[in-house]
Amino acid sequence: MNAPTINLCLNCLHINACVLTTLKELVFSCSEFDEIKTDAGYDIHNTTQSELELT
Amino acid sequence: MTIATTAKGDKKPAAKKGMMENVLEQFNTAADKIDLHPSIRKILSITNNEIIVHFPVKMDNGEVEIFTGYRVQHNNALGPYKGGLRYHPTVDIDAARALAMWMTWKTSLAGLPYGGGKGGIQLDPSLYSKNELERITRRFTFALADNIGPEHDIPAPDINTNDQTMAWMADTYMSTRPPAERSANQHVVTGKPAGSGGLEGRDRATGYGVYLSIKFWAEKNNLDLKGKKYIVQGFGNVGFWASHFLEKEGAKLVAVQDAFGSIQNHDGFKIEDLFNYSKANKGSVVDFPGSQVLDGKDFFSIDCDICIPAALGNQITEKNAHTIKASIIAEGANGPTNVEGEKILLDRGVTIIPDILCNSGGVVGSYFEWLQNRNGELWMLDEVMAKLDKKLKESFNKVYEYSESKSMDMRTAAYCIAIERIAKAYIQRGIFP
Repeated sequence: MNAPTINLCLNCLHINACVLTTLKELVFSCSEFDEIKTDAGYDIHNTTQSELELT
Repeated sequence: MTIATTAKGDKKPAAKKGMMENVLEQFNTAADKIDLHPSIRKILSITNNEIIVHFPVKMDNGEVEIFTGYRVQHNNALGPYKGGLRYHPTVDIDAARALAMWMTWKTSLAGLPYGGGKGGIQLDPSLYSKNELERITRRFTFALADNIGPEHDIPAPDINTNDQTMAWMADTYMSTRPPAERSANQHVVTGKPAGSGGLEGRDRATGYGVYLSIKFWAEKNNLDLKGKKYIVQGFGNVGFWASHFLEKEGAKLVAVQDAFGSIQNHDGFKIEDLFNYSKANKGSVVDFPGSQVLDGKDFFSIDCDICIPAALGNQITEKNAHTIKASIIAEGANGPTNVEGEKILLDRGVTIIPDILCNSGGVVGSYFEWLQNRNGELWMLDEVMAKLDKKLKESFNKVYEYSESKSMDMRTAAYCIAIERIAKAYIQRGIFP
């Protein structure tokens, strides 16, 4: 099997300021991961419970 | 299928090595220790099934995009495949392989009737509307078809997927069943919203497991957690809940590090206040009233009894392992200690509660949700916590006793137990035909 290429930091809001690691190409799991928001995008991390239950 | 992905936001993933090698190295070290039969070693070194699906989804603007989804099923000797689905541009088959293999060891060690799986869709979810994500999720579920199922392969949330994603998946999968069977298939995924088959207390299960691991270790060593100082890296779900339960035992959180910076307080932080502050400050603990700023590079060398790396991998290495003051490391994150760092710590007599044991509360919580749905029950929070306590104590005791009796570290012991369980199933059942 080949080595995986996953790299969470590429799409993380904190990529430029994060103090946790300089080995960003090795991060496959992180509690601090926050997806970079775009105008078009749906914020999957900020869905309210009531919203979840109504949809 | 070989249709090229044309999804929005395609990014070339950076070349990376290490993760699969680490997983295989840990497996081979343990396999050598238990003198694993070469045939079983061969079976476990490779995945059972790898599913790649390319599927079309109509976007809000009327155009159609083609997405690529993966599901890797590593091993099912002990039961249905179990593992998360992540949505990320760098998801690929290789990453899914390593993570699926890891899930096999984790579920086996936890004594669950599950194997290991992992998967996801290669996309950047921030570029899609909620309606688009719903259609992508539903169409992916449809594309996976009978490659998933409540008694075959049970996905769960992971990076960029959540209880909403699981609710869409469950609904889509159930809709494809004959009407009389639909309700009996709710447990095709776990991590659903409470109220749609989800488990009370699932949010705290991993952090509670981290806390319990520390508590069980303290009991084995006749130590009282009251007044013990601990540090936490990552104040997300795991770091917060572990701290919440440790505070109830009288332990003191003296330093925290998150993506924004590091803070310390020799008298200890009030967990609820810190959590509320962080929530109000875009997730940052920096400048919390009464805290002192701490240089990030000094974080792990703070004077403390317990160290909880609960953020990300490769944090304790040959560069900082010798400066750590804690006598126990409880790995809330996946892979926070690298091989070189671990060797230094073990030589210094520091105990490491390994990730596959320490953060297994989450997958045990998933198992409870699956059981609850399967049996048509609804469990109360106190019932869930009591069951978690019992299950995690059993796992901890097995690893602790194995490591003591064989004079090996807890990580190697955990891997040995996990692999021995699977090997035993193969020996009992034989290889068809």
